[in-house]
Amino acid sequence: MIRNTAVALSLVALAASGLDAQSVEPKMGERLASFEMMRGKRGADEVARRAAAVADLLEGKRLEKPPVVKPLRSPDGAERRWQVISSEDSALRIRYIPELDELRVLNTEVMADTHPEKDVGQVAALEIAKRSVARLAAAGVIEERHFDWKSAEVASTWVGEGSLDGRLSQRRRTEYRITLRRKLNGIELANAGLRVAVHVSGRLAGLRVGGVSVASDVAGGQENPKGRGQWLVRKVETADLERRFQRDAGPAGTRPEVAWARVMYVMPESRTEAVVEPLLVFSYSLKSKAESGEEVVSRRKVLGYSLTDPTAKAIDLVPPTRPTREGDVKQSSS
Amino acid sequence: MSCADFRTRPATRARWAALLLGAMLLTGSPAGADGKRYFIDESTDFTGNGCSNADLNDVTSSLRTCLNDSGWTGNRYTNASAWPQDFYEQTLAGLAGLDNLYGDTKTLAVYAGHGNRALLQFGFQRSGRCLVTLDTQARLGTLAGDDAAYAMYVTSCTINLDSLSRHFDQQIRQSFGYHNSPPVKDDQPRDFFEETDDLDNAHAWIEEMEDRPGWFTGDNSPITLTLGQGSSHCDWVRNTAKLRAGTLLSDAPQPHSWYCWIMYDHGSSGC
Repeated sequence: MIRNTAVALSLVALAASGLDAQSVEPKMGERLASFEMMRGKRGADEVARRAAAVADLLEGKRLEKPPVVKPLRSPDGAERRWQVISSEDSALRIRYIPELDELRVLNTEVMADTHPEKDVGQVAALEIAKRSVARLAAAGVIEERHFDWKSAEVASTWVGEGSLDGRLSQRRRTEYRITLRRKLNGIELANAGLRVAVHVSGRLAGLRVGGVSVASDVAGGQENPKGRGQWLVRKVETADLERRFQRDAGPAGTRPEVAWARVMYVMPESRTEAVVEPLLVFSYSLKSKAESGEEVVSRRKVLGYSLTDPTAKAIDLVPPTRPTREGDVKQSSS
Repeated sequence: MSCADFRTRPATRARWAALLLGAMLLTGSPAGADGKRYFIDESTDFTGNGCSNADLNDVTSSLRTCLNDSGWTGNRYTNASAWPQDFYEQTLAGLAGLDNLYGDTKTLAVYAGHGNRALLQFGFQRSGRCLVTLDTQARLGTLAGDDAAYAMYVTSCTINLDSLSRHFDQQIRQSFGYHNSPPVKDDQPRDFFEETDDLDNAHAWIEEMEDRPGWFTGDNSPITLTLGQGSSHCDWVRNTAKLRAGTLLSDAPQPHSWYCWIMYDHGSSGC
């Protein structure tokens, strides 16, 4: 009972603020599309071309030679990431993750500047990010129409320091971290997008770009599904799904605290190819009282609910990829 | 210990080198023959064992494999074999602590499970206990055990900014954790370790942990807390220490007097 009351309060708070504004929420009876989505790695030449465009952007000059792409060997012999070397003396650290089709770039010189003399401010940082994205679009790395700046999220990198005796303590922002997710007819896709790190000095400190690709074409002012994707109709009310979430969220004795809830496309993590329809997604942690009375917080969980099939079960969107591998056996007499 | 990267403040280099040498002499030998030793406790089963919460995914078995493949040695204990007492300071009264045998005996100490501010929750109750309160019950890198130099907490909120001072009694170089409640995929701790081949621990942690891999939802606020003997030394440790590269695996010089931290801030949800 206590648990249900707490959940209800949490959901009332959520309802009062509305579901997150980042995504459009189709109403009952309205159309929504499922799309065929794919995770696929690119060839080395294509990775080099994209990395060159990103390197040009972050270093502010054109590369003299094409970047060199080579797999990085992990200690177990696997090649999970590729290294891209833009030039011998570059401060850029460029990695490509084939499994995610994702490029991650750090400007190690810029990010090491933790004592900046000025802060350009968030408005200027957003303008810098917009110009950067436009340049990436011009270079063919992204399509600008996939992103909506009204939904941009701005986070920060902070550094802090102080004396243990408490006499000195200070913190300062060093970066604005601006995230844009791919949108499909106003609905966000969790698994594709970009993040631009703008140092407070105004220089670019990093970039992350990539994710799943979507089979679609654009006609009549909307993105239409191709292949196995199709137009569907919303048949389930938000209130019904919130009630189901109350039941599903966690074991007895726990209460969920929702970090965000929104209608969103989420590509199943275990699949390289799938037809994906938008879900009502709850990202939350569970709070509970330990036996000694102290409050404990679970790691984050994410559940998704179908908007088109009232009988579909909740989907664990962050499932384990394997059963727990038990560790060493400890002698109880220790 | 390599000081090759300690070049940003040349005026202080000699002073810190002398301090570090002195501190190493005072604190005895490095953490191991080459420091490449780990201790891991992980709880994934929180059902019916006296410490209730949601069950979790396994996030340290691939880390362990990677550590072993990189020449590290150590133990990984899970569920019924992972005990709160492993992190309790042995010399503190009333705790029956075993950190002299477990949590404080290796360079890298890891706990994966649930948590809260400066708090770890284990999945199996032992001697009536499920929790470790770090500021009152743990003393990593000092007293009994005395060999931990790094702590990784794959738990919610354990290094929330509001609880930073509750980590100051650990005499270690760095702690890795979260300011909020994170979703963590199975191999993320492994990927963090792999990246420390050429990227400093502090940036590798926040880079690898900002999102669940393949998501662009910015769900996590990962934070690295570094302890040092002054502002410059703290900066230097933060910018120098690399686990996989084997840089700064020696015990932390004691006592530290300064802290510095870096965090990607996506909010403190859940904490």
